[in-house]
Amino acid sequence: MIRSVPATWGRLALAATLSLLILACEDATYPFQQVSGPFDFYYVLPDSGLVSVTAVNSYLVQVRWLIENETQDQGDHSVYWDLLDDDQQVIENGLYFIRVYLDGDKILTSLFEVSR
Amino acid sequence: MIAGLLPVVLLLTGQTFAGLQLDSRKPAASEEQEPPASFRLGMGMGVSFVDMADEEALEEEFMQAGVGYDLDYPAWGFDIEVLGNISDRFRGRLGLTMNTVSGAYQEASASWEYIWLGLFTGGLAFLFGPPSTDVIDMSDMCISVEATGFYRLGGSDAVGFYLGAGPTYNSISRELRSPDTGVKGGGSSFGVLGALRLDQERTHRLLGCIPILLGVEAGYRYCPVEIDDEEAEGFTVDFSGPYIRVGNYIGL
Repeated sequence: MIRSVPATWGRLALAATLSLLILACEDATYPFQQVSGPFDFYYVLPDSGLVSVTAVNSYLVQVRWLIENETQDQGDHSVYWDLLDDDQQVIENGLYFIRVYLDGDKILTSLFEVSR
Repeated sequence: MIAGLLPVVLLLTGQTFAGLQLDSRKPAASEEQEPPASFRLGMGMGVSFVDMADEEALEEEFMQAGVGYDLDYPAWGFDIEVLGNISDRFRGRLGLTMNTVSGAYQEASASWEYIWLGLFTGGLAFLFGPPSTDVIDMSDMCISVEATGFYRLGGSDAVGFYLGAGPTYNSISRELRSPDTGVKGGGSSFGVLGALRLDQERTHRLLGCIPILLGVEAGYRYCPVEIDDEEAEGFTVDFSGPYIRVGNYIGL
């Protein structure tokens, strides 16, 4: 009995450590979304106003106007991006930022990894 | 008279009394001095406080997107160089320099290898935490060919103080990798640099035989390079900025 208590605790500690590590080995969740095809981008407006949404590449060059100076109400909104640029060409794989502007001020930036 | 001039001749030709077997005395300190090196070949290391305005803007964009991306400053460099005396006052330098800047967003990752390592080491490896892996990894590299002319401002027999300037040709490469993608770019352009140098003028013998000289150079280089890629639209990888480098050379 005296020897079994430390052994039990030891097994428990080992099991807990392994569980944590196995959980950590699960698919990584990155602070950005990985997309392979057209998708809807969701955003929340804190106020009503004139909204623009743009997509820029990893050189910070704008590739697409998703919304250009459109009046929208406060609250939840979404915009569809077909992964085409302003010339209707398919964009290259890579990292892209979507920026949301409200009345000319940038209020949100989101990162996406586009790979097909 | 001839005997009086002999030490001077020997000093200039780099020979000793013992070498000519004219005198078995141990050479005096002045007789041990090496002649000034007119040509030197060596390598050096340096650090540059580069501009990188566009890379900083990208870092800021990542931060706004909630990604803890860090640009690694300053730029570290390595160079191979040749220096030669053109005249008493002028010295030329030809160098091949490589500078790098990197950036990354890292996450701790507990791989199976890490788990097995931890178990086999009786938990010791777990004490150091899981290794970090680069989720987003950026590397900029600039290879420059530098031709610089230096004018001697002053100094002594032992050290010389020089001011110089010259053109550079810079070729950059850039790569931004994410888990499933990689974007590469590159470009080249001419630039200029201006620098001050402090050069050791007389060799000292390493291990009794290798004639070694030291040199320090501090200056400013201007070498912005736009990436050629159509998608980049003026994105500039700019290794411009003040720098300092230290070199050691074999004097010939």
